[in-house]
Amino acid sequence: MSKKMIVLKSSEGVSFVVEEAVARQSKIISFLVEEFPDRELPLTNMTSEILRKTIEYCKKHVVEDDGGGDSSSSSSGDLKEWDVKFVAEIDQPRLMDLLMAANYLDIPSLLDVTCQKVADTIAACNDEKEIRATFNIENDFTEEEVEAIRMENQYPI
Amino acid sequence: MSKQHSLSMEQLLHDVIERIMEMLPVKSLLRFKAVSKQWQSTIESRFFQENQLRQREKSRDPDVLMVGFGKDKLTGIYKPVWLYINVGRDATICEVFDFSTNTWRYTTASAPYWISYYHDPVYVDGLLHWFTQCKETKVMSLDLHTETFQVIYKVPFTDVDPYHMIMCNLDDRLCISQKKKSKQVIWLFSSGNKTWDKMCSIDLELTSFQFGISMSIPFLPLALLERKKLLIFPRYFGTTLVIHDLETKSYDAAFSDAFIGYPVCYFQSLISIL
Repeated sequence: MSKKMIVLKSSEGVSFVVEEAVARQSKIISFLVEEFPDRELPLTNMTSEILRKTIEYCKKHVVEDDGGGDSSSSSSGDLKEWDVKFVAEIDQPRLMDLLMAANYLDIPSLLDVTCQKVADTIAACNDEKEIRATFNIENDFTEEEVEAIRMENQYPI
Repeated sequence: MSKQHSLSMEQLLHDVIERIMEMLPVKSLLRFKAVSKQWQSTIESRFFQENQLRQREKSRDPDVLMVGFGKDKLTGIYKPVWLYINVGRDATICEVFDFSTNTWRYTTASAPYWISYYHDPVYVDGLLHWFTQCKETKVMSLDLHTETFQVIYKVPFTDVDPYHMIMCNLDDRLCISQKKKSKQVIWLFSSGNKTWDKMCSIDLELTSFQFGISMSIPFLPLALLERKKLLIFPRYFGTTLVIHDLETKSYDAAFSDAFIGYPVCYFQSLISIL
């Protein structure tokens, strides 16, 4: 039995041919292939680089079903380890892009691992200034307001 | 998501930001209110705080604090409860603290049994539980929403010595345990089919040999870690937190000190009970 393939097109117009089972981990794609079978799906807000990364993740996480039940390609422990390595190798800006892609395509497990990585990065920041710098957030507080928040959270931890 | 400028945090959708923040420890959240007004209002909202606590509990990785209270499941209001025996009236009196009036008030329903005063009540899923003091020991519970006493289960053992009985909340299930000679058996209550499921048996001879803990003292189960490791602590005069691996049936010391006090497990949360 040959596997059904679908075509995903990045914002630069590059086509990626992917097994349907792999792509269906995205709930959006899953919906789209049912609505529009045999059509290539344009993902105009995803670069080739991010799309390639997303597909790499989905390929690893696809549950192979060869009629013989639910034999996953990897054990859950290995998979977890692989996930950690996968996000560790991505730099901050690309991680945010990947997180947005996971959110846009609705891939819950990828959204979870990317969110966790961002959360770890935030938790590792020493103060609010470092967070603003890392994530490009504008400071809309006055000095006094920041001081007030700092005072109210002085816990003897 | 163009190639030229990568995304900043501000461009992320708000629900994604909230999702990320839910994964942060409480200490960081309190500190990072100062990042921006949006962060501050998110962290201070009750909606976010409830989600954050749920996320923490889902992680099943509680913190342990070295040091009878519960929540009305439907209204989300926390209620301290006080139960005492009035010998003159031969009845167990129940009072509930009402935060809206800041006063104690009597519940209309009275407790059908005397409670065992050797044990503190245990909160699980909207109910407070006590051991009863009668010929056949049972478990009596108070529904914190209706404020009525309900369901009474017989304990799965006979020949009860209150000092050798334990009741606690383990993994959000009612847990009771009895020490008999050198064995301590731990049961979990299954609310679905109303039965006690035997979880494990602690070999007190082994723990006494390994950690020098007296065999006459039962352990208090504190938490189930990663679903297969039980964190236990001697009920009296404890100096060692012990981890019992349910699969390998081995025991390890997690922490040891001359004065540990009375450890409890908790999940960090921003919610204030008042």
